[in-house]
Amino acid sequence: MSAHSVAYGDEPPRLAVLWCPDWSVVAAGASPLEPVAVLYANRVVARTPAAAAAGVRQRHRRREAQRICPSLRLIDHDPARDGREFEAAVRSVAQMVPRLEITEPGSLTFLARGPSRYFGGELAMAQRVVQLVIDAVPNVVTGIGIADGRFTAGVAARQSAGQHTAGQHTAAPTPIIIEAGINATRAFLDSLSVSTLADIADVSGDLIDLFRRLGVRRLGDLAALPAADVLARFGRPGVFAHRLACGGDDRAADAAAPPPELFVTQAFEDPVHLLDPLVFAAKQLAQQLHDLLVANGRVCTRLSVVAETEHGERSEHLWYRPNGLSVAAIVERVRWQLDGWIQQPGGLSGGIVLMRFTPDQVCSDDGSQLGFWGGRTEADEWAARAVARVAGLVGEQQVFVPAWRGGRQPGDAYAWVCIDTADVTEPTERLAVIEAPWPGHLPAPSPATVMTESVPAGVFDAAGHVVRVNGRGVLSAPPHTVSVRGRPTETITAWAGPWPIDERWWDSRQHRRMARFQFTTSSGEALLVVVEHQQWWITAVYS
Amino acid sequence: MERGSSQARHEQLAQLVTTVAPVSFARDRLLPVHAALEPLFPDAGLTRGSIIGCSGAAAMSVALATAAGASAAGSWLAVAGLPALGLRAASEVGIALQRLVMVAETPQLGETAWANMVAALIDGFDLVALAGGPQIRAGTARRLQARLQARGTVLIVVGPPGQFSCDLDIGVQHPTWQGLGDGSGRLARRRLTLVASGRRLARARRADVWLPGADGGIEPASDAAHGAANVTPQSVALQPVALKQVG
Repeated sequence: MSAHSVAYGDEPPRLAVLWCPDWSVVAAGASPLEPVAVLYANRVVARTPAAAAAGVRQRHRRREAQRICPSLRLIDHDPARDGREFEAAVRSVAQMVPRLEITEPGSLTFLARGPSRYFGGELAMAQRVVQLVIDAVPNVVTGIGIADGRFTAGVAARQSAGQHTAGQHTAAPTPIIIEAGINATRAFLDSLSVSTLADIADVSGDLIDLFRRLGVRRLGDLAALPAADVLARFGRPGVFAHRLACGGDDRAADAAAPPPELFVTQAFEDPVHLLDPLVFAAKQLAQQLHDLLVANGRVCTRLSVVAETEHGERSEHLWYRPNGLSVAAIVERVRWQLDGWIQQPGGLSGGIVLMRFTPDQVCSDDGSQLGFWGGRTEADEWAARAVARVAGLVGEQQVFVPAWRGGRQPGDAYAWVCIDTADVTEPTERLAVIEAPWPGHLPAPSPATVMTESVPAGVFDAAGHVVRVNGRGVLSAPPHTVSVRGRPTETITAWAGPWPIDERWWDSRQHRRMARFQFTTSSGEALLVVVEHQQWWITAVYS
Repeated sequence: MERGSSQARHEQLAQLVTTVAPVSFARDRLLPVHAALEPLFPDAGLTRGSIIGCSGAAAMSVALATAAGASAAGSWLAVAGLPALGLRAASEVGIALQRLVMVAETPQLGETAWANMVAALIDGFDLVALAGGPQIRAGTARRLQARLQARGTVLIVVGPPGQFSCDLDIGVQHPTWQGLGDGSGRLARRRLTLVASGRRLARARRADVWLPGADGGIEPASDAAHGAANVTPQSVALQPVALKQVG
């Protein structure tokens, strides 16, 4: 054991992770033999083994996926459906394992030590759990891994599921069990690529890219670096990645069980039978809990949600989210849990009379939540879905979002790009303004109407001759009237120019040499006019 | 000095908070508008479910300005049939381009398909802007209007509203450009009087604004500035700097 691998204190707990890849297609009820993919914001998020065999991958765009596999059936992403359907798997595993922890639909974590003693060893226990899930959910693809710490167990579960998708999809997967102890964990992790961190532990892609460019390609390379140097160079995210690569626990160092009196509860006088009022009550409870925690500068990373019916039936789930559960995230999870419970055959026989949220693990809020207010807003979600719908109605080539291009002409700075080549919900890349100087561009204010095609115009001097601009930018006479086809001739009340530009002189096809003018006309309009090869055009209107 | 700068940063932060806080979908019935336009609206904001018509010479600028406050505060804006929208002007006036989506004009689209498309936009967006005068039946317009009210979306019609009956019409009076001379200067800013009229307004409401202002944004025009509007263009033109910048 090297000297710095012990830097991360207490030993991580022995955990088992059950992982169902492509859960969304299973939840949608797709047959594994049919090529089906689930799309979110125009990207594939899950696909069936048949689609995977044809070459469809996660993050593929809709058109890309359809090109690879023309017979692909596409389904819209529905997180509520994923959560609801996962309830069946959760309930079947909960029969033999206490304190299940749900990270997201398709992923379960639990402490391995107790159940494995009871069921005669880790391998026997893992096989039983997998069999339970396969029996409970038709067509599921799953994998299970047992190791020290959430990250290592997660990697093992994905490997277990991976060998399984490569082979037959009906057979049970082989569990992957990593021996206890830091040496076995390190031996397992060392040869893996650093991008594993991004796939499993949400380490940012930029950091992974930086590691790669610095020659740190494997987790073993990263773990070999001294922790203090990693902190100095990469800050907190770097230390987190380093801790995982060393086989450490992914919990924040200050994560702790909160005091037992910290919980929020609501009892209903009349049993509630409908989902919507329950979700509404959950929203208020979540807000209360959030306020309690925020007052102490804490955030809940693991939450126990309990609901009870009038006949004493009970649903209790532990929900885990490494970045902390925001109010919206809590409400979403409560909805999954209750919806799944209500839809279960024989799930509950009466209305719900009690709901209780108990934080199981809290840590100090270091502001590392996604986005400013806990990720995407509801408005963003609605818009992303509406965009997908509209694209289905009018075709993807007709729906556009703005992207930064840069340029001198008013229409050049931003361009409309089609949504099949852009991400609607991830605008940072397409709208990153590159602060390059564009000498000769017109300063603000910019015209509100930019003609998609320039309109030919005639500009005349007081004597009625066409105004000409020579190669040195000298006018034949001051402009006096402007006429556009189909509109009456108007008098120019004020003007400025010419402002010549000579663009792309190195490219014979795209070379443009022109002079720009601004006119205001007697009707109060302001125009941006260019003259190119002695032909006048109106390119934009300050409408 | 120290205190002043920290106060300035506090103000900046407070402004940032209002910019990035999400708009909740709850039943608060108003979307925010830019402070300079508040006098135009009876409730000092856009009433959810209403139709706002923008007409006249500055229709596009006025439509963008109307949407800017809500867009900056977290609402999404969908634009249909306005391919000539100037994106640079939109970002200068305060539209958040990361929350802007455009559906191109699709002339082959039948009325039913067009209405379906607009209905889908209404379902997902807080603000929808359409080019005026679509050739639709009155029934279609009424159905869309009912959907707007159910969903709480604000529809902005640029140009003649056609079959839509607007809750508020915003017109433009006395547009005056500043900064352009006789062969000198450049367009610097425009003063307008916005006039809002509608069924539920006893009398027209007015607001004097610079739209676009010197930086392309919206600024309230006070009466002191009104005097400046009457000064000859040359005296206020920003000639030397401007010419260097553009030339």
